[in-house]
Amino acid sequence: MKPLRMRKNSYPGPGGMLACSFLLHVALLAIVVTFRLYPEAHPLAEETYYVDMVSLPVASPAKGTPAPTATTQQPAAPQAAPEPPRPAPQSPAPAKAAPPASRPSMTYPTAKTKPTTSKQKQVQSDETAPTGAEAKAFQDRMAKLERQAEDRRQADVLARLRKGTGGKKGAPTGSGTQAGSDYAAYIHSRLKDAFVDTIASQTKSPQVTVRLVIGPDGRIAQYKVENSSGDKMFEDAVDRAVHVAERSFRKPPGGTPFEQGFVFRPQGVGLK
Amino acid sequence: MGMLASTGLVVKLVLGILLYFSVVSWGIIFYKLLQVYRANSASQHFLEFFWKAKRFDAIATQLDRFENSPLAVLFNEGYGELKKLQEKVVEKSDPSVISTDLGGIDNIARALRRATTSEITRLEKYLTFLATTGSTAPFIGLFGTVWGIMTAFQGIGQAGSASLATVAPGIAEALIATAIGLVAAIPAVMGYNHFQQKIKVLISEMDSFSTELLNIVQRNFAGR
Repeated sequence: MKPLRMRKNSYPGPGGMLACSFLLHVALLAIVVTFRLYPEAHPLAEETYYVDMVSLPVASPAKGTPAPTATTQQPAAPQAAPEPPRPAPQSPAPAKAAPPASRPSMTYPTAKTKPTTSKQKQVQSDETAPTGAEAKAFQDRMAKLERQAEDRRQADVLARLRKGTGGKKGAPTGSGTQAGSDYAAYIHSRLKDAFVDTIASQTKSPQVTVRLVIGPDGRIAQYKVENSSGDKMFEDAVDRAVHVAERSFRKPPGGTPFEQGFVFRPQGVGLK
Repeated sequence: MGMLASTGLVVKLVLGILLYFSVVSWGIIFYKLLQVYRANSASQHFLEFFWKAKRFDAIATQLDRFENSPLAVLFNEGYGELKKLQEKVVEKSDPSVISTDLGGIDNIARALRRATTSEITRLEKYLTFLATTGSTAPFIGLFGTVWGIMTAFQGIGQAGSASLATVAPGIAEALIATAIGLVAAIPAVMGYNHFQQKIKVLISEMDSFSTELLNIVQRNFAGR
């Protein structure tokens, strides 16, 4: 009798099934990659709030200025800068009307913390009482000017808040030339904070230099690794840091693209 | 995918080996599923046909219909041996009698045993690879993880930071190897156990059929 097993099976052999298995694995891999079913390596960074001391609203225009002297009579704040104007209540008009030495009350608006309260005004009135009706008229004018200056300042702060600083506290609003609002320093600080959370390396002293171009919309328009020590893990950490930091970037001042190189080392981030 | 790309060479090698194990295991699982399913199905049909048939000749002519059945193979071997014995006896004297004195039944039993062993070997072929994958893949994955964690800790030590954010990504990358090892091992172990059980049933059926066939041969062909 002819052995039954001498003929071939009518179903695919191990080779065919191996090919099927390979295709199945490729398809699974494609599904995992397409739908991003693998865990994300990027940790969720807590949002950091920055407070820009320059544009911080203060109760009194004079309060934020360091050690005002009694004789300091500041003119009106320069209108060119969009930073909080310091509308000095001591406008030239009252300065002209003030008597030279026997009127210490001339300096009270910068010396008092809450000059607009009625009680303090009363105190001032008492202090200046011996000067007579002329002094009283002067006090009234001063109080009026103060109120006007305060109204102007509050309207200005309100307008600036409405304009777009809402939501992102402390974002730089200046032109980049004023202390505390340098855009490069701002981006640098964001990168530094993000890098602390993502840093990882495989080699001894890795270093990566990247050049970022931030578009007018505040997003990274160009991200280029200019130089790398070849540590893939460190490069990946830098990449993660840049993309984590990007979430909190504000638009560059003036609506022009911003370009800057940054050097990442295990010790921190530096400007190039 | 970034996690995979940032792993070291050893971990990548481990992942490659595990992927190979997984691909081959699934290939074997698919092949065995089809083989065992067809063997079971064809055996059921063959048994029905066998018990309905009146003559061995009639069954022998229809064996091609049950090519995937191990029982059909047993019958083919047993019947072949029976025919040989009959031809030998015809040359001597009475063609309808097989002398047990000359070891005729023993010959058929040996032929059936040989065919059974051959079928068991065929059915169990490649199962050892599944057993090997099931038992070694987790350890290979573990090796990759240990190596990855060692490398990650070296990097962390050089970075000088020990925060969770620094430690976690390296460990997460290293743990991929263990995960892939388990992904390769679990189906292999499940498949191995499943096929072992199915093959055990088929072996039992083959033993029963061999006994039945020998009984029929002894009843109808052997000399008293």
